[in-house]
Amino acid sequence: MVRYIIKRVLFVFLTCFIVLSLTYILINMLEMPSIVSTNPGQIIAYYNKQCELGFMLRFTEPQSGYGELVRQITGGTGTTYYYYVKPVLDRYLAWLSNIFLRWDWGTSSNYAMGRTTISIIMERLPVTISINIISVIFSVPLGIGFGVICALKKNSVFDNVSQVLMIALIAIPGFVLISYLILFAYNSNGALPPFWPSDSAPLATKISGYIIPVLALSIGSIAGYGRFVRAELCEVLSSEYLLLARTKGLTRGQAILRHAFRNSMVPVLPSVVAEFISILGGSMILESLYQIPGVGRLYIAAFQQNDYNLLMTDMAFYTIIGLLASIIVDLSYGFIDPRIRMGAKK
Amino acid sequence: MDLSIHELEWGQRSSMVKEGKFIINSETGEEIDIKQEDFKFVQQDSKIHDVKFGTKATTFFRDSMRRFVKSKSALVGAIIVGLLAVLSIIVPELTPDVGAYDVERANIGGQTVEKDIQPKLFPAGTGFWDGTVRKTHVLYNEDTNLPNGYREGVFTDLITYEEEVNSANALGKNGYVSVYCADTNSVGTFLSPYIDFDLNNVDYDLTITTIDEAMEGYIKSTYRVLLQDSERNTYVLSDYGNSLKQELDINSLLGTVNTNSNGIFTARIRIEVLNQSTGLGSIILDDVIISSNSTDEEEIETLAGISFTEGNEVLLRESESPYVWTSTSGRGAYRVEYTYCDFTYDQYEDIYGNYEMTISSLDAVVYETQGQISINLDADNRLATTDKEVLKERFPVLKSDGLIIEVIEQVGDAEYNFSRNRWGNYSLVCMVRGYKYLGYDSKPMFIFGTNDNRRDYCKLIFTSLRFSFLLAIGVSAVNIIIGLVWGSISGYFGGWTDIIMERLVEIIGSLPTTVIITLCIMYGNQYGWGDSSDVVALMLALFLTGWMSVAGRTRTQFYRFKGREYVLASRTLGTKDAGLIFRHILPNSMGTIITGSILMIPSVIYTEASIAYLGLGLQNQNMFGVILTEANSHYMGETTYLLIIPTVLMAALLVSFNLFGNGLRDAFNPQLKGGEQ
Repeated sequence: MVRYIIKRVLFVFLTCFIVLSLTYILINMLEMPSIVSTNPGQIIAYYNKQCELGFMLRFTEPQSGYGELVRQITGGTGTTYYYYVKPVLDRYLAWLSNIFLRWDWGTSSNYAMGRTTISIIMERLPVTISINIISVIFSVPLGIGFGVICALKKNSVFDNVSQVLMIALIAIPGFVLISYLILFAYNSNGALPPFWPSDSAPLATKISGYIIPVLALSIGSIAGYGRFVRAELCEVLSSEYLLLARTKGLTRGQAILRHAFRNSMVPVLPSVVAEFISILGGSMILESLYQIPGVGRLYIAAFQQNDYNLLMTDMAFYTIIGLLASIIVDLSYGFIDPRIRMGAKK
Repeated sequence: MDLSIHELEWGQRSSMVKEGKFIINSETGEEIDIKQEDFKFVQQDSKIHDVKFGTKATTFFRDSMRRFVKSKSALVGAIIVGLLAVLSIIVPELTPDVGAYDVERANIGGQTVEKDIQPKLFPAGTGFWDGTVRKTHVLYNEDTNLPNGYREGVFTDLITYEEEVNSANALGKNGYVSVYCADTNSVGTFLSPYIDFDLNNVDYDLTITTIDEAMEGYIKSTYRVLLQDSERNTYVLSDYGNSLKQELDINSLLGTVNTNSNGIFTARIRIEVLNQSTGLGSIILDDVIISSNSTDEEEIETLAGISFTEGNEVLLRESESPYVWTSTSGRGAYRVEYTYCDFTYDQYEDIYGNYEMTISSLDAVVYETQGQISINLDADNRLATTDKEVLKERFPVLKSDGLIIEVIEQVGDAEYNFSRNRWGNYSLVCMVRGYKYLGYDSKPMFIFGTNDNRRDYCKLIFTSLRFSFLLAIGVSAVNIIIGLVWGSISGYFGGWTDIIMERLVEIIGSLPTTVIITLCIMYGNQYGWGDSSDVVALMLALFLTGWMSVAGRTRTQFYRFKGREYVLASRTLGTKDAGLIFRHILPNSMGTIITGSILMIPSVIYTEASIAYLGLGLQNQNMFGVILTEANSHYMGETTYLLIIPTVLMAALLVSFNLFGNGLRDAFNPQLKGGEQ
């Protein structure tokens, strides 16, 4: 088991390394986007930082044979600087060493010029995390509860209706649901804010600002858990060991609680764990539609403003979260259910 | 001994057998006597292995179909998906290119399409989907008995109600004038026009009435009344106070004043409102009446003009009127009475119905050349008229179903213009057919309305849906082929090939789809892949990500089948690897794989919509997702149908595709259903 975990973790690191390297190289093979800022002091400071970090070279005279000229700019002192960009692989190595030696993922070029990208992401994280945590807190118990009730009342009217509802809610695309929620908010006569309240809004508005994002994230997830739990529990309920438990003299409640429910949770729990990890990622569509200043919207802003450094860091962030979630799901199977021996030979 | 079915059944049914007698009913003890001779062997000597089955033979496919049809939800899903697919093929072809399906006028049909026309399917008055919209809180014009800005015949279910609003408008009545301090450092003033006081001969009285209320945001204040002459000298008539009604005798209150040589004193009334320490002060004037005992009619008229009893009216006096009151600080209307109305507005009737239109003599000539009317003007028959008989002869309508129904009035006398050689200088008021004016042959009906860009929304939606469908099917087909090949190789050969291929899949699979799509679009933007490089980029991204699930499924199927006897048999007969893969194993697992992959089609549509929604690209494409994106600003007002229609269609499409796909999968793989059943 320990060997398997180590192997798995090492492999995830390797995958992560390969994937991020690939992304970095692909992005940097593109033409370097132009800087939007018109303040020469700021631009020079940014390029100097790039030189310092090892991505560019600075000269006071035009050079040949030093790669591509990115920008020539005259500073406040009257000196003209020529900035040359290093080849992609040189930049890649510099990027790697910056990350490993200084945990520096790069500097934002357009979004918030001069700031480190990691600090921008960290600043955006709390909003995303708070919304997602609240929605998980709501959706997991509600979803599981729903599933259990449906399984216990299998084939009743309640079960049939909620099955149809769940299928519909799972299949309805998220943005349609969000659009309708926002539509509702717009027509609620101010009871719900139709977009994310600003920082200066009163506390009550801020709190009610959570309602729509949380609903948008929870509805689909409640339906998903409900269906999943129902399927698992139904299977367990029809198994022989439950019959044995009943014949042994346990009441229906005891049998369900101690035997059926626990066992049905085996495949459900890892996905709950995975959901906790993906809390960090948030929902890009929700954030952009409801104008939430979270990580997801940052990604789009970085893309639209051609801030490749920030975009790269955001991509890395999403990749790492995805990998982390997948490995935790994998490993938690083994912890939760000892019968599943991950990676065991025949 | 070989027992036939009958015997076994008998044996099971009887609860007790004794002495060769069967007891049928254990309660009544009813017995039948059955002897051994009554039985005979069914197939003692016959051979049944080459006898044809009595039952119908079934194939795997037919069996699956039977299972599929049994599942109602899957069937409904399939029908809805099929319906949408058929509609997306038929609708763009059959819908005429109404007016500017592309842009505004002068296009294909030459018709003008109005913006944001409500969807209409049923005749107006149905109350639902009938091209009408409920307008609320529209100002009501009591003189014409029409909602302000709407003409007769375009509205129904009118409800009027009165409200008091603090603003002046020509449609308002009564009300008061509020005079207030605009800032904390100055008094509020209200100044009448200049008045020539003939103090020696006439007595003047000034009555000022205020009401005991304060405007929102202001504090009820005290005021004083002064006279201010043209040199800005002021003469106090009453000191600061807040009495509701003041009657001031100007002659006695005025001290020594500068009169001109005729004994006339020219001054204006000045009302000053004091500021308050607790906030901006204001008073509300009910009326100001200045009266005199003069007999000079002109003077009486002037004084009556300057006096006012109605706030709305005094605030609306135009600059041409000599009786304009002015203010150096602030003044406003207070509690002006308005009539508002709610009504159901028939947009189609308004735009395409019959209405009066004024056409110039120049246009009349154009309509004459079009053969709509003819113009019979001559020197004796040219004067302006409203006489319909005369008009009928003068401007006969030639086409019974043309633009012009009837000429109602000639405005202005026609003059002959010799340089242009035609009659001019007049205009005609005509009743016209609105739809003809906009270029239609009959009244158009937009089932889904029209959008902001003046496009027939129904046609636009289904054209885009068709494109999205084609894209999704194309992408899915390519992905399934790639996935099949990859999965077959990986699953068939196993071992190191499998391990390496799986690791590759894992690495590509670790990249979030959004990241891959973003990268593709970035490359597309830089290198410009054709006119619709976004679509190419999206397709590339979908090719990169989509095949992996199919490959995984195929691999599993190959692991399942490659050890089977028929594969072994085929191999011993000398079949090569390629033959085994493509002619034996793949056809056997194809059904399962493809039905499992059918859900790729909605997922491609979903991805496309998400990309457009996120603003990562695809703008200006005729794709379903893009329409959804354009619609998502219509959260409020009357155009919410632009949001609701495509989202409902999208949700219906995805839900039914899921039902259909799941039903298909369950039908082909009954064992996958497992615990759900």
